[in-house]
Amino acid sequence: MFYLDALLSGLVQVFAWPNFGLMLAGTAIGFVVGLLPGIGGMATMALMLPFIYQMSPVGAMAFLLGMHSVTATTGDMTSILFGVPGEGASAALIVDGHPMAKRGEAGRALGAALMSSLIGAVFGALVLVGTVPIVRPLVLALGPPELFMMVILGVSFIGVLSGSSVMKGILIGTFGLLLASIGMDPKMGWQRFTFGQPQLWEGLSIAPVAMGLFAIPEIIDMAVKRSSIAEGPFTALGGVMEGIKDTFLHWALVLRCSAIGTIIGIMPGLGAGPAQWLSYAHAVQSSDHIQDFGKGAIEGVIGPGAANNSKEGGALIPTLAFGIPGSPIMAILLGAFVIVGLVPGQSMLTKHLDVTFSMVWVVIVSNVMTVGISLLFLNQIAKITLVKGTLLIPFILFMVFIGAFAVNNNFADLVVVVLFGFLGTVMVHLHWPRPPLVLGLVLGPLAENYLWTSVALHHGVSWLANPAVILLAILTLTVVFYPVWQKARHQGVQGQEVAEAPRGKDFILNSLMILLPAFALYSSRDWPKPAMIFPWVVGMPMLILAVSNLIVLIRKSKTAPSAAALGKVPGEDSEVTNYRRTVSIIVWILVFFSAIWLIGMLISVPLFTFLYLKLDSGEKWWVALLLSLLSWGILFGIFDWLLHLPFPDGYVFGLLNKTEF
Amino acid sequence: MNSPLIMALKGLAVTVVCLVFLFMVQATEARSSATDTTSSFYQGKAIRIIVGQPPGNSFDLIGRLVARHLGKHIPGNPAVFIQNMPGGGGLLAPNYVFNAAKPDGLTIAISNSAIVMDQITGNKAVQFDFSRFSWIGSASQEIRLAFMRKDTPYHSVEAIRTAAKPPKIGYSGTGSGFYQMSRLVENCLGLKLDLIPGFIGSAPIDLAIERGDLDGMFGTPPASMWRAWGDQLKRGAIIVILQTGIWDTGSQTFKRHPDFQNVPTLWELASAQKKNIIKVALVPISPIRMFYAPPGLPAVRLKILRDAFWATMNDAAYRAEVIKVLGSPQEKLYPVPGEKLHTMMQDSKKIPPDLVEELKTVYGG
Repeated sequence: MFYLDALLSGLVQVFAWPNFGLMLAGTAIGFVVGLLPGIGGMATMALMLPFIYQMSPVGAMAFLLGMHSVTATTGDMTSILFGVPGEGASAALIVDGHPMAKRGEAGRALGAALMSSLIGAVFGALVLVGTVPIVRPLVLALGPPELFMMVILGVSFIGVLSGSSVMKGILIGTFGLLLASIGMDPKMGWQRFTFGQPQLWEGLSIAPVAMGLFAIPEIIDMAVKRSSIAEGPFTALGGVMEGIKDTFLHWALVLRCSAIGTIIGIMPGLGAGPAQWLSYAHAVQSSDHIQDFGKGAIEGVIGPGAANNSKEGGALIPTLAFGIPGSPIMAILLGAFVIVGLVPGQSMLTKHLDVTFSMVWVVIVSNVMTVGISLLFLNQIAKITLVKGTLLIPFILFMVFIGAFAVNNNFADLVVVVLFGFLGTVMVHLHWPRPPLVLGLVLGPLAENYLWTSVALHHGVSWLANPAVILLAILTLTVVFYPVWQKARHQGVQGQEVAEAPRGKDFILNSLMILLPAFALYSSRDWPKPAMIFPWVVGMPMLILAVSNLIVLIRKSKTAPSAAALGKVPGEDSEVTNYRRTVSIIVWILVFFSAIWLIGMLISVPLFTFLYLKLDSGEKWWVALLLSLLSWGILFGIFDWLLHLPFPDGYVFGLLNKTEF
Repeated sequence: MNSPLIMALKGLAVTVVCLVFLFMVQATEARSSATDTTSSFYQGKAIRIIVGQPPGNSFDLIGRLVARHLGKHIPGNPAVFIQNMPGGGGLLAPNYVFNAAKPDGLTIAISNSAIVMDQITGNKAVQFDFSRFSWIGSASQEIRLAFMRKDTPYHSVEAIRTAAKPPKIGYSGTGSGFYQMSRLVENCLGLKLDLIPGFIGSAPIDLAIERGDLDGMFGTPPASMWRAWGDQLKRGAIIVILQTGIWDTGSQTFKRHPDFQNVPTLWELASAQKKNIIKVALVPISPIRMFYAPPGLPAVRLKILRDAFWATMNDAAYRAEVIKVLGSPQEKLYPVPGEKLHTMMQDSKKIPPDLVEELKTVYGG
């Protein structure tokens, strides 16, 4: 009875004034923060902390948690509509959500993302409620060996994510793992592949890499096709209600991905990356039409949509029960607990159970409200995908650059975006799968850390005999071999992709994939062993895979028919126009990037917007002027004036300043 | 007519009107400050505090608290805001402040005092000279603690020394306080610890202790311990066995922190010949939450900032809030005024080379 009383009392407290008002305010802020790339939930919560000193515990939680629990929901919307993640936790939604928008199904993707987010959030919250009696043993059940095996299970998804070209996929996955070794090694702090740049010490951030890989190619594509985001009219199946129906049709997937998100949320140190990318991988792996992923499969929206919201309920569990934050954002929340006088630990599960349950209610109510309000005008929002693409391109590029910058307030991440944008574009062009790279990058550091911890804790590898470890190992082997077995069974039925002759660029990219691990292996040969092992364990297979793939390519180029023979030459636009437009947009992107570097963000954003709209899109001068004013207004008003992002002064101004002395 | 273009244009019109309004407000503000010619430099201006850490950690929280109160103690009441500049193990921010920020009194920064040790031990990524910063003050001097679970045999430093096997202690990277205190204690007290690498931050270490994978923690700041272990400490489920102590300039020794009067300091337990290395390892980093400005800040403005900082430290409203963040039951934070911090930093620059070499071996592994 005490349990139910607390549940009810928690609900009453949330709806009591001023708590409800505070939750509304928090939810409204979180709504906007989620939509806008470049303002993360972390920074916003830190920004809001000073306001809570005068609030009651439940009021403060309603405000902060209401704000945080909807950012991932609305962040998904930006990912789907523009191909730019509104939040770091929403990046995986791009892979299939944005292609749906391009197909004219923005409404459907949005509906599915919102509904799965809502179910995920409620799921995570209910797990929190349901596990209160057993929360401590639950959290303590998983040690570093079990977590290591879970990460390995995740790594094995790489093969599944590769689509039809498994070898290329695994090669790219190992490349992601190798990239993950950039930065200080966890055992002795050796600087690996940092080239003397302190910016690289903490490794590559996921968000700029994902933005480069996925957003930049979309921008190029849009500029080449001269279309709106939706390349055709809205389809009959593209409505919001359709997406909601889809979510319920795939109810089992929603629940499984919610569970993945919750478990990852419970484990401190895992973070938002694994939750969304593993659930994405699971959505692919459990599908019977793998070939549609990356081209707009609804499951690719539903899976990560559910997981990136359910992880919040999970992350609250260790935060409340142990005072050990389940995620970086929960660490801030924990700081807030202390400020308003709540002591996390056993008492949150007994004496202050009503406060704990009020948090559950906040997560549920704020998400219900957000989804409800969004549904009202979702079909309108979806119409933005019908706006002329050339009008949007400067804004999307602006969103990409500001979003990448704001991850660490660091210019170096813009360089990362441009480099991976280039790589991503080439990969799209040559049909190399991109998600395995991100998964490798996400899981690499975890694999290495958990392995070291497991080995050191047990003075060897005796932990390999743990029952849970063996179980997870069997599961991993199943994941790896099930598709192979299935393929053997359905041989010829599904119709393999017609082998296309490799192009010259295939060989260039493949050579890069040989040179990079070769360089990594060579330059790490004299490193101390703890720092060297991981790059070698990953680099050797990558090198072998890359060389084997080269051999496959050479053999194919002799036997397979050429692209022209398969009739794959584009019909409408001539090859020449496409080529010219591709070069043109790439030059524009590089000009924008260089302008930011040389004359700073505040000048180059409106300038680029104006020049692009006037010179490339051929807009009327007043349209160009108005839109560039708007871009400057957003940049100055929100990011400079309100949020104080530390934009570097342009390099040129730095030089001018120096000459003054 | 409900075409997207019309909708977009409507949205545009609203935005433009809002922006015009915004600028009118700003313009009025600017004019009101311009009319008052006799008033100080800071009137109508804004000071930024660069935080060399990501949002949300204790340095960020302290930075934001100081930002809340600093302005009212500066003539002209400037606005104060925060910019996070994490990265490079905390070195990006001091590198930026030293090389690129203008010494105009409008940019200050807060860093972990570990950056001082980075320079002393010859970290190649250091692009600053800490002795040349314009030091404004430190918000606190804090101790580092070592605690063990009650259900282990390691109830004291002596018990660890005599135990059959060493206790398992986790760390989150060689630059972390966990690793450094572990190594220092091993070296100075002749203990052996079983150091376990690979933890991603302190939360997984806490969890591993909770699980029984690890036996305790070396190098935790009290605020973190209160947060994650306050309950267990009260119940006696964990035992604090060692503290670094607070450096007392007068007696030139480390004193026990008032919150932990029954816990011995490293200084007390170490032999005489180890005291020098303890001193050079701990004194430079003792003013842990350091505020500073670029080198060459005009003396008048440095004085204004130092005075305002010290007034903030003694501001009752600030103190009530900072105690909540740092959680000291005795409310002892030991802030350091600017002049004293300046002297401490000049002294830290003069560590003899042989001790520096010894430090490098201690932390080197």
